[in-house]
Amino acid sequence: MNKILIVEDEDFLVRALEDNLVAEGYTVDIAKNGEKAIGKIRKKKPNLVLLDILMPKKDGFYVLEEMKKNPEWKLIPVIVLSNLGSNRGEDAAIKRAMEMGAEDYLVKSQHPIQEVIEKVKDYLEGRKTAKHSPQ
Amino acid sequence: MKKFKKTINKKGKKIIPEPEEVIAEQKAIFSSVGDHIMAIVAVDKNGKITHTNEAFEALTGWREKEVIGKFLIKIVPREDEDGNKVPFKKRILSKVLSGTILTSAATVAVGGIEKLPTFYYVRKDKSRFPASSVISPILLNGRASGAIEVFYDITKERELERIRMDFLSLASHQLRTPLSGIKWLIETMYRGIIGEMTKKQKEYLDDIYKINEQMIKLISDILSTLRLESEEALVKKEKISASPIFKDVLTLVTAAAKERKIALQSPLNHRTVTIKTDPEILKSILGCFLSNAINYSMPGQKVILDVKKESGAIVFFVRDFGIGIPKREQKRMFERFYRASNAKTLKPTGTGLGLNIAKVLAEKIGAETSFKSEENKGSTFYLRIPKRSSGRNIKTRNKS
Repeated sequence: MNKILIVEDEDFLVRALEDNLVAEGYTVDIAKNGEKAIGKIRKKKPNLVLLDILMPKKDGFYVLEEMKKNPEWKLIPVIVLSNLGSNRGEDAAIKRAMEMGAEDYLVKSQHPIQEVIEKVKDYLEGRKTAKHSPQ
Repeated sequence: MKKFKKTINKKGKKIIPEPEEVIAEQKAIFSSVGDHIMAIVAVDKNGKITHTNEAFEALTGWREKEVIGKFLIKIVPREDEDGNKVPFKKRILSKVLSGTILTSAATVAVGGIEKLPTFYYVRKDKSRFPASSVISPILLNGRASGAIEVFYDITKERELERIRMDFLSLASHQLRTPLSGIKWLIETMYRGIIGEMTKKQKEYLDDIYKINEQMIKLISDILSTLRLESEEALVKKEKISASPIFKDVLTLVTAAAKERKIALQSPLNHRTVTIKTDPEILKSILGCFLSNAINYSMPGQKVILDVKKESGAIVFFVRDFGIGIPKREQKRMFERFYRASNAKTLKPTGTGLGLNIAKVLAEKIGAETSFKSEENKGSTFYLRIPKRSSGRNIKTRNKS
């Protein structure tokens, strides 16, 4: 059973993501800030992380950085879901997250939730290989 | 100024002021102009400094007597954002003095959309400050006998710009988060995973969803315009053929066209066209023209995307046979938030920002937008891209 960690501080977004992922048969864990996210990754070893950027305490960039410097965690695919960023894809936040090793960056308001679910399936059901996974 | 007025005395006899006094007065005037904010420096035809004002000293740290007779471009080096020195040949001053530029094209627009990549001037003590400058030739019988440069420190303006961008970025986040929540929750309800809805409930939800999408679009468009204004020139210049561009933009609007029962057509002219420009900007502009054409046509009508070669330019155009634009409203079409009266009736949800964004984008790639339209007969929107240019004067400016 694939485990997904949702890192998001807004309850209504957590609820939407959780209900959809559970309906697809995934097990879901939730962390509401960057600090808690690191704890959950350590304990629960998720197969994929959905990561918000702007959160209280530690932000998404912090989580991404911690994950990518840890040899055990760096292969876990991370999809960033944030409302920071423009549609033209030249945004500093998007660039930064992608450079730090995120697999994807979706501006939440611009993508239906179904698209997020499809992305998750892409990585977890082997339809798409994470760029950081061993070849 | 008294001395100049008194060149003729009561008896009608000329009084010639002492040349030294005149020179001293001129120097005093020159030195005081601009207070301590606007540095002014004059050079002779070789680019050697002849005069400076007090602000020049305050901004650069160089006293006038240290720099008279020295080359301005050596005394005040210009650097780009990364600290690379701008070569002498590429300095605007050199172009002004060599006669390459004899108009105000050498000057630099501050604010508005014609923003330059920031440049820096280096002080005597090697520290630097972001500057804005205007350089004008001193024309004598149509030739440059020297030049005057006026410049000032724009550190404060840059700071304000940074604050503005931070605010925009945060505002966009704060506005989008609740809207994306509404969007995702409704989409989850549609899936039926939390139970089925009645037909009537679903209809209500459809309406709420549409309203929400409208808000998302509006915020996204407002942010795009604000961003475009403040974005420094990030324009690419790639040699591209028109065919893949056509394919991409047509794909983008296919769903919208289908929904409104509009037939999209593109004659084969694009197959032979190549152009040097920014592909993403080109696609955005054509995409805007196409969605307008689709939105303001009637079901069953066609919309044509085409391109033609003109002398010195490539012209892309989108033609529709829809509602057209009333003549008296035509001159306002590229204004921000302006929407023609008949457009509001047909599609109440438009944001009124599309064409304004298209116009600003066109300016970024040195192109022009225009249109011909007749009410109830349709409109044609044109994007004219000159073959030798990428962005208005951007080529000169980037390297200056």
